[in-house]
Amino acid sequence: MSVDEQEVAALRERIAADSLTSRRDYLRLAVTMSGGLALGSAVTAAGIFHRHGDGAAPPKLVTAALAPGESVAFSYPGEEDRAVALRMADGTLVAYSSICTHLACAVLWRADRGERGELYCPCHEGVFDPRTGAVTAGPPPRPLPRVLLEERADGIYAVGTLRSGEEA
Amino acid sequence: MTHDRYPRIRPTSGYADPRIRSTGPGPGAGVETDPERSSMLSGRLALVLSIVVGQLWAITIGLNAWMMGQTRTAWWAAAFSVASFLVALWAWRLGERRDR
Repeated sequence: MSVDEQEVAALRERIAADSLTSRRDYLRLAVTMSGGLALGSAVTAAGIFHRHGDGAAPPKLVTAALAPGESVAFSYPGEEDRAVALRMADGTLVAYSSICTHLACAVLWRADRGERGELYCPCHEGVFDPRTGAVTAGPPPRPLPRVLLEERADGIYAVGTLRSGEEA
Repeated sequence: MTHDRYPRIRPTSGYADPRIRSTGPGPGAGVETDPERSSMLSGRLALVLSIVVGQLWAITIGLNAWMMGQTRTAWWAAAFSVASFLVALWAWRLGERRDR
């Protein structure tokens, strides 16, 4: 066996030995993961993620008119804050963030679903109550954040936002 | 056991022998001095893995609360997570020192 072959054999043995993960290695990995989670929690609380309604904006014209059973998509307050305004059959006007609180798919107004229509997320069958934004079915963990509307003479304006689950 | 096998070797064999320049392992060498070491290692691992599960729960609660505008709850979840990490760190480092 030449020196080179011996070196290669020694290297092979080392690599084979390294692939065996011991309990101490698992412990170190678990502690590292724990540190990452602690950091992640702190960064989350410090506010690194975007929330619907973060930032202020002047009132924005959503649409000139909205007939009962119809909806319109818009963005408020930022361009990324996609929302949907709808008028229910009884004339009630509401607007919510159209980003599903589950995995951020687009939430759609479906007048044909349910008794009075539903805000429906087709990705995982999430359903929200159009009157309150509360979750009525599916996996979303939080209600839809609300967008405050104002009906003026020249149209419907978005004037503010509320956090998920917050009441006006 | 050594004594049964080699009756002439005593635990103190080699002491006061002028030919021996440096001391070797003393009496009791080669015997497991901390028989619970292995189970303690398993225990530490189980503790840290439980802590990680708790932290996963905390980050879920914290993120949900923060998204709902409850920043205070999110900070409490973060504090819990950091405290949990300190316990995990303790279980790892302190055990590491005793593990040799």
